[in-house]
Amino acid sequence: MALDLKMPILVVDDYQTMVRIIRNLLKQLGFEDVDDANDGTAALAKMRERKYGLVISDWNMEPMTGYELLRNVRSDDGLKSTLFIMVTAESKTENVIAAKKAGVNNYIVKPFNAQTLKAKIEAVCGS
Amino acid sequence: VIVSQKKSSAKSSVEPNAGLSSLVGVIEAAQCDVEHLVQETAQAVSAIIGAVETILADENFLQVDSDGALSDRLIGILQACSFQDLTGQRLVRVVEALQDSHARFSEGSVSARLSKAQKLRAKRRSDRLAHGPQLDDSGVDQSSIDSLFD
Repeated sequence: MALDLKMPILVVDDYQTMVRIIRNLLKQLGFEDVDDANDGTAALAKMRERKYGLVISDWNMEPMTGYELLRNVRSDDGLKSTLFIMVTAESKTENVIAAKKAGVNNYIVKPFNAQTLKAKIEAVCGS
Repeated sequence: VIVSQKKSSAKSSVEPNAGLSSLVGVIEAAQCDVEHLVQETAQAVSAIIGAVETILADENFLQVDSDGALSDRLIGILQACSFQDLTGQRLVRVVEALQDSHARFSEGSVSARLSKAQKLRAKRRSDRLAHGPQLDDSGVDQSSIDSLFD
């Protein structure tokens, strides 16, 4: 299945370095419409203003974590169908299982590379 | 050599008979060093990413790199820069541990009984340790995670 390269993507991370890296990786993959937010609260506000096709979020942020953002998204009728990939250093099995139960579409553990990011985007967009 | 010199200088400032205040000073200095390390690393990584972004956006470069081979190398540099996120998270935990120790020693309370504020700080630190990058043997790798999503 061909990826929709015009799909708006929201990158959520409190480390500006990671935002820039993910933005550049997405650009190299051909995605043209990439926005960012630096925590769950800011991301939720942006998602209520604009419809995104995919959210790529870190877990460990304050005041609202990526996990809380995911739960908020999944409990909001207007947002719950948004594709959601967690990109995080949280590699404990219980965290991965909790994210899966909360409705995450895929999970990437840091550090990661462009191939992994591409494969997961293809997996969630094709599912 | 510099590291060993610094270690010995840190050691020499905590003689067996030194008081609590000198220990507090050592903790303060260590905290300050780690905070600078976080800032300086972030600045260096930001400069590297900025340089890569400039090259990737350069029309002349894109013409020369028609097969994308050089761009792939530059993307490799960007990926490598993600170390700063993980080391940053680990160093923030170190800073918090130092802040916690500093507060406890500053209050002169090295006794086993913790104040309410100290308990709160300890809990917050313990919560933090449960998150972020894990040590090699306590996290799962990407292939194990993938099997949960197959």
